[in-house]
Amino acid sequence: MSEVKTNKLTGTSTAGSILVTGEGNSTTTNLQQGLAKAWHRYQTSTSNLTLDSLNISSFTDSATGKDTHSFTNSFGSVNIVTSGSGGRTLYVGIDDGNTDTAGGASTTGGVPTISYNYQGNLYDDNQASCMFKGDLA
Amino acid sequence: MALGKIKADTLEHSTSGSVDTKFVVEGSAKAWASNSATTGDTISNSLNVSSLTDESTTGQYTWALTNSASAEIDHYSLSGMCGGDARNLRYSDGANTTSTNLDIRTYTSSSGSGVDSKHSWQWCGDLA
Repeated sequence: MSEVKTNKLTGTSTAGSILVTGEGNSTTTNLQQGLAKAWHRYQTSTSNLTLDSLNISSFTDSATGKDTHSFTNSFGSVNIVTSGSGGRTLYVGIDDGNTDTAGGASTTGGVPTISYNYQGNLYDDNQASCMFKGDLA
Repeated sequence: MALGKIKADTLEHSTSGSVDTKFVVEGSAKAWASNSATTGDTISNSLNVSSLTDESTTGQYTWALTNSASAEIDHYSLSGMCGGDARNLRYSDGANTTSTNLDIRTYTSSSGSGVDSKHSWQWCGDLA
């Protein structure tokens, strides 16, 4: 069994781009782009608490069901691909500043999200999580 | 070993532990994307996506992968979220979903009715 011991992987042609051969051995995928650059497990139901995280410096509970996740290391653009889920019957969505959410827009340093119940009402969640994809700055 | 290529079963960091490289290969997201508006075919950001089609049916979008999955895309894991209040997304397991095309439906959570929506998603699975 072979093992590489290192604290840092860097591409030879492009420092921030390393290819990984896919499962079918016929194509490759980009290592850096396939990694989650930030994730956040948090609750806002009784208190605002980060339960676990990667690359999250803080988060703000601005109103019921409205949270903004701030990154330690910023993204390279505001087009951050976000996925997530809520606890129990709750859902998490992107607070993209539409008129029906009256929320803020994403920045390279943070993403606003909304949590809501199955009836569509904004709700403070007790076990929500989000994952963020995209290029770091 | 070919030039610029490392073959290894484990990666080890000096303080943060080690990881079997199968988790690098199998655990990385193989595609992710977001659209830039409620309607239209404009992609705002993506990995391994060649095109987006906003279908005529409300809440129906077809995303095409550049490098195909090894089986139908809905055999694997998809997660994502919508912009705006109380909207979700899901796979469609109908004929429009293949190893290359991902048929995503966005809907209002309370009613289940289709609704056009900004959305973002990530897909984890095996490449062909």
